[in-house]
Amino acid sequence: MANEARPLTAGLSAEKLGARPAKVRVAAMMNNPTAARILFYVACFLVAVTVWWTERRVQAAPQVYGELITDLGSSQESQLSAFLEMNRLIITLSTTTLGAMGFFLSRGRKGGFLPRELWAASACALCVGLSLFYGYHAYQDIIFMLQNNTFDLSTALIAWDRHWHFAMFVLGTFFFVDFAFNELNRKEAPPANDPGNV
Amino acid sequence: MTLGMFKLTSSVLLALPMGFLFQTAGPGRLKISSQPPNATITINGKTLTQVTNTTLVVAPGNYSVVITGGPGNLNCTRKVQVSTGQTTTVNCP
Repeated sequence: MANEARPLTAGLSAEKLGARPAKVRVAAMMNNPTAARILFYVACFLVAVTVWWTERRVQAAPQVYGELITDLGSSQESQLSAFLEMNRLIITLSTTTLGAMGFFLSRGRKGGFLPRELWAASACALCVGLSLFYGYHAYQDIIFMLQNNTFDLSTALIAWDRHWHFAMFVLGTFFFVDFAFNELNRKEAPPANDPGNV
Repeated sequence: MTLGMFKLTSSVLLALPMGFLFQTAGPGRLKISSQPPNATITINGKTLTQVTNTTLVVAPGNYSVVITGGPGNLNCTRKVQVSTGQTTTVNCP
């Protein structure tokens, strides 16, 4: 056991060996326009494949969409109307939030934004974007149900999308309020030599 | 790094709709009947609000249909396979 050969690098961290930490490598990649562009397309492709794979998995699972109907009853028509009203309202508010965020960012600020603020802006854009995605998905589910002569808003097919549509909007609003609160309360620009500024 | 975060965010937002480019198989139908009617339907362990006799729109796949109770105090279990565009019938008893 005592004579067992140990590698010379045993016990040394990657940094001590001269290897750059992952964070530094990613930052270096981001500063390279070509690498950043490739990373952008790779990320797009990976997200698209993930969405497609998840869609297939969810829709291929045995599930009951609802009872076969010939026409919508008055109660179902009211449900559909209420759903569409709420769907439109959240989509309108989400789009407005994105626009307001764009306005704050495009207006710029003397001294630039702090990374923390930009992270809040990114999180807001991501959540609101996801909310719009789930809203569109819920709309697609309604079309699917009506095309197949069924209508049931309580089924798993649409319940998931409806809840995430609202939850993502609320989360996006939270990040927007966080960003806007900092933006509106910050009277003075930070010092120009502040390394945290972007 | 923050610019990268923005790029990744926008890539996620742009790529999400691409998942809709692919269409999955359409649904099938499951016609469930019992004599006498108004029995409880349980599909794959989940009890439905609908009672017999009814026709359900379902995703293609294998289903375990349990029909219980009702005026006839029924207790039937059937395993069926539903295909796209097809109507599969389950009768009890």
